[in-house]
Amino acid sequence: MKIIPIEEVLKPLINNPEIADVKFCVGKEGIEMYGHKTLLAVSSEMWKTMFFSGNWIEVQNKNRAKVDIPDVDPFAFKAVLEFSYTKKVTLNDDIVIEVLYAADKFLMPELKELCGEYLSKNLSSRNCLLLFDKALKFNEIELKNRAAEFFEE
Amino acid sequence: MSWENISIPVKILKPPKELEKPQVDRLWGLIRDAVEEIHQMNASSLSFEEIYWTCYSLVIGGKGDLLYERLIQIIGQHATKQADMISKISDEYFLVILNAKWQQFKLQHLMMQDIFMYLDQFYAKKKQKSPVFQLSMQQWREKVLLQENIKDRLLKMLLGLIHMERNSEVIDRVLMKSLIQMYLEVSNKELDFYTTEFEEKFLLTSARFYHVESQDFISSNTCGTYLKKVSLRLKEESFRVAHYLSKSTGPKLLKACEDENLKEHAKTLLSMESGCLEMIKRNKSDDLKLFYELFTRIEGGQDSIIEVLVDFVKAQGESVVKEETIKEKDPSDLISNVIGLRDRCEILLKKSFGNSPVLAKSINDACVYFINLNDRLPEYLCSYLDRKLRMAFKGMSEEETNLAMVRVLQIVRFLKNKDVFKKFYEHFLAKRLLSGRAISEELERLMISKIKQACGQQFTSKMEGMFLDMKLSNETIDGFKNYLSTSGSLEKLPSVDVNVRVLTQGFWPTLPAQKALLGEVLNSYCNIFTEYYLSAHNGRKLLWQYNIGTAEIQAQIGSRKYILVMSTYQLLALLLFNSTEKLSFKTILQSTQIPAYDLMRALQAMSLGKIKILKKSSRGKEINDDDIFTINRKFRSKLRRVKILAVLKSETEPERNRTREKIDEDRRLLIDAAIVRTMKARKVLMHNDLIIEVTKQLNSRFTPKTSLIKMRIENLIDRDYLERFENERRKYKYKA
Repeated sequence: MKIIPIEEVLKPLINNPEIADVKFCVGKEGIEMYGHKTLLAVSSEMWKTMFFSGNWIEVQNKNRAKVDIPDVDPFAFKAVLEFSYTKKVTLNDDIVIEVLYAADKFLMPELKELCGEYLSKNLSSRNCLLLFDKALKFNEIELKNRAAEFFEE
Repeated sequence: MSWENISIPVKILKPPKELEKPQVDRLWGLIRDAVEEIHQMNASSLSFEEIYWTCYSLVIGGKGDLLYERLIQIIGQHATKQADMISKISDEYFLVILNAKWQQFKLQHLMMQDIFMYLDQFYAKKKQKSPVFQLSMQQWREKVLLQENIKDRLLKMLLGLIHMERNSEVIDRVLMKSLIQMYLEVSNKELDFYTTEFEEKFLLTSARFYHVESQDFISSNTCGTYLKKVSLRLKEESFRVAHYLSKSTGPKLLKACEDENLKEHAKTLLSMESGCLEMIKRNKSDDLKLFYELFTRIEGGQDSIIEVLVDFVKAQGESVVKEETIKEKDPSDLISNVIGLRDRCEILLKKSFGNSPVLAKSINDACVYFINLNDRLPEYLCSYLDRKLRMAFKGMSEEETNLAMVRVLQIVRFLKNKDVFKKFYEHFLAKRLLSGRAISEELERLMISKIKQACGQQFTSKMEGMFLDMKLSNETIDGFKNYLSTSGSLEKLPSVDVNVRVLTQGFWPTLPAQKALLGEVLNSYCNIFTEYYLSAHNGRKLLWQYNIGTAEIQAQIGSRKYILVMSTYQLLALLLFNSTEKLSFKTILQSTQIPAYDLMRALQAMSLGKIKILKKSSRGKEINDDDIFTINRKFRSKLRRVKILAVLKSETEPERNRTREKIDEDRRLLIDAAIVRTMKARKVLMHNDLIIEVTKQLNSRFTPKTSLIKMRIENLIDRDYLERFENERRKYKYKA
């Protein structure tokens, strides 16, 4: 019998509006994205509290259909969803800093670690300028300093 | 440098750029408004995500300190406001309102705990400060619960309600639970608010309550009633703990109750008129059970019960085993009472003391004490069993018989001098086997198997030997009768149905072999038997014991014929009257050669008892040398078969002494053997060590007196088995 990995099973659910139970409006443009509370709660303390803490449930029930997240980049949020469902994430230089931000905010330590690994492996003379720019944007002093060191070399 | 070694980039986000003041003010404004809404119970208008983000932004913007400090401030202000409001509430609604406000406060700050999650995890934890919720609890504790108008009022009212409940009034347990739980919830590892502000005071009040109540109650009630009440009180307190107190209070509360209700009054409860001793005396097993259950809860309680119990068993035992209780030389009652007392102890142990091993041991020790008070008890036990076995435990079912045997053996187990029991048992068994009367072999064997279980294989080897002899004798006698009819010896002799028992010396209690003149006929039979037996068993020696034989004869007295059952000695005397009318005691003595004492008793049985075959010339019980005996021609009996008994009746004084002497002799031999065995192994030994070793070896059979062991040592020195050291007189050496 062929064994299907669980991430293959869950992949079709990512950002699938049909059976989702929560809608997000992500980024400055408020792009609509969809998720499943239970799956999100598994990898994030914040989602768990927000969706399932008994203290807020009455409050949340009223506007549970829609959650505004204006401060997170939609591509980064897509990566967050992907990781929540599959424990895997595809990172690239363009979004890694944004994903790192979201992972920190949503209290997702494993995802933060993956971003960290990516950065320590891929910081090179080729992309240090780009990352330097991003780091400036996100007030990342340490990353900025590291990239700058690289640049000077 | 190599980028491989960059630390985990989690740190990359920190330290972030400091936020500018206007931005901070704007964000804090959002937080302040949100908390205000929560405190106003208007949280439904709030967005979780928005507040969370605001808090997050402040923390990563380096404003964690500011946020944390300001939160303490507004939570404190809110708590103070609540305290002001609550403190003004009248007593009537005080607890209800306080509870409602507390529940509200708790919910509000649980919500805050949720939205300030990031603050807790990335600021408070790092700076080792309390999480937000704990902060809230602390504020409630300090601002509300310690407020002067609230603190004492709350405690007093809670304790008042518990007092009411103890006086059987119904109180709101849910409210109690919530408020007492509040003390627990505002406590933390550093500050056990529950214990210091509530529990300590509660325990003091409880102790005071029971102090007063118990004194009042014990003076006006019996011990049993008092204990039932205490038991009920303890149950109530357990329920109280389950319903609205902290679990950790349970043991402390129960201990306080037990101390006041039981420990304080322990002496009284043990000794009062209706107390422990009285319960034991009156067999009040249920009351006693409660007594035991309660007393085992207090320190030293079990020991004090044991003391009373052991004293009782010893005192009762002492009176039971007294010689004076024996009436008409029948020790059955004494033994029944001993068994009864032992049984009573067993029942108490089972019904009241939960079969506690500690109590069982104490009871056993007490039994050992009183059972060994009377030296003659082993003998009485045997005599008791003898009666029972002779009657084959008449009127008892198989089960009851078994139980009766087990009970006797329980007593046997407690004997220190089991060797005395053994000797007397053998003695009585021998008599039963030789009495010629029917015995229940099944019961005899059952009894012996039980003795074997209790005392070991060796203990019963002689008893089993006796049974073997009886079996072999039956075979021998069959062979002998066959021999008589085929050898033709019968033709010369009058027909006598001879029955001989061949007893192995060593198995049977030794009786002095006594000579007597058997007369021609019987003598011939004896000689033929001896000849027959020795031809089959070469090298053996037969010693005849006429003194324990029995006989049945046909006699014509007057016009009627009777079958007379009697002892061999009686038979020998009676046969003389076939040829003469009158005989003096002296003549009978000379003609039969029976020992005077035995003959006297034989004649007494025939002339003084119920069945008077002979007439004695003088009056009175004594028999003098010159007394003349004649056949009583007026003898009449309704029965055709007449038993002239009394010879093998109860243990006579000389017999008893003989058994005693035999026991002493056996003991001397055993002690000698033990001394020699020990010295042979150790070669050199100090006096005290030798005494200890010998006592230890013999303990399973009997408890040897030190003086006796000393005597035997002297004796062995005289016989050159041991010698003393020249310079050290208390040291012995084995002489090979």
